[in-house]
Amino acid sequence: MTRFAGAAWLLPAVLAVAGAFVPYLELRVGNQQATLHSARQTTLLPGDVPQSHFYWVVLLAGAVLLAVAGALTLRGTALGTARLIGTGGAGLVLGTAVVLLIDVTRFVVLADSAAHIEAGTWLLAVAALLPVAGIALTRPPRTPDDVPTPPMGIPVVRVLEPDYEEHE
Amino acid sequence: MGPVARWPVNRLRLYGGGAWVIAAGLAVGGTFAPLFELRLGRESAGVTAWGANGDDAGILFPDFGVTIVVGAVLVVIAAVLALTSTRLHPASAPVLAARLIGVGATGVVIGTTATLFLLKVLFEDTMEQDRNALVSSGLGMWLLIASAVVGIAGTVLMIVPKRSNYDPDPETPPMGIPIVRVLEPEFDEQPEEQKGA
Repeated sequence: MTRFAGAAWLLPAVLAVAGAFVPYLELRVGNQQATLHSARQTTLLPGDVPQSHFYWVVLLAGAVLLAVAGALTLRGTALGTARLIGTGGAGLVLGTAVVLLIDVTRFVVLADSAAHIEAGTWLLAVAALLPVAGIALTRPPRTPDDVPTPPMGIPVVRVLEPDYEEHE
Repeated sequence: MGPVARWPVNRLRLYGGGAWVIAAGLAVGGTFAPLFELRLGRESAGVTAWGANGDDAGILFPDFGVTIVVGAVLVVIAAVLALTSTRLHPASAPVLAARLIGVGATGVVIGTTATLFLLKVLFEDTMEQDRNALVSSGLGMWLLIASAVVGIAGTVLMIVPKRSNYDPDPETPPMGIPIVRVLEPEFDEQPEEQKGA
């Protein structure tokens, strides 16, 4: 179970890093020319200087948190902390991915057939959803204060007084 | 299900839940205030998270506010769970749920805010070559950044364990430790011999 939980954190971390650099949208301009959009840059027409983006920074920060959660989970220590760190990282990746996916949807609606969804979109979508499995599979051990009541109930312990033999 | 054990109010979690409520309010308010203002010569257009003025079709700027509002609603749910469980054990289900939902939702708000800020930077870079064009941050962007900061503060307050007042090695009082003797209940049972007589 620990291996699956660790993989459920590490895999979206890798996918988020990949999704930060792989183009997520291709916009065809003219007959044979197209611009490629990724979280790092927009590759413009041949000869133009690519336009840099920095969305990848947020995705990378989320991926680092997911990777830390994965490492802690695989070690089997501090599973509660691992789950919280992973959830925070998942939130960062989800927030960024949804904004970029809304942007992709806008282009697909407006440009219709000129817009082509690329691999980066699917990488980001999976990276945003997969941590749910990590949250579900990472189960910290129950604390001693939270021990369930045994089937036969808790025995009542009676402390007996010592017997004294008192003589008048 | 037995009675739930009630602990003293955990003030850190109380303040953390309060901080999350403030963070959610700032985030939702930030979506309706202008994130930045685009100026092209004499004309200017305010851009909120729900689109640019005069751009009803969402060509320039789509409804990014949806993500922030969804994140803020989840932060409020986490805050309600946190505020109603301040007297419960830290390992109880409502506290764990509040922490998980709150941390994830705060991450969503921060991720969206950071992306929108980077979008503003992109607009600045694009328009810096044009002398007549200007991009300036608006109140909405500052509200979202404040929401992210307050959200992080709330998360820290919710996660940090409360320092226990329990001293494992207390000093012996000057007069020593009184011995408490628990008395057994007295039963009025007659001896067997008297019963038979």
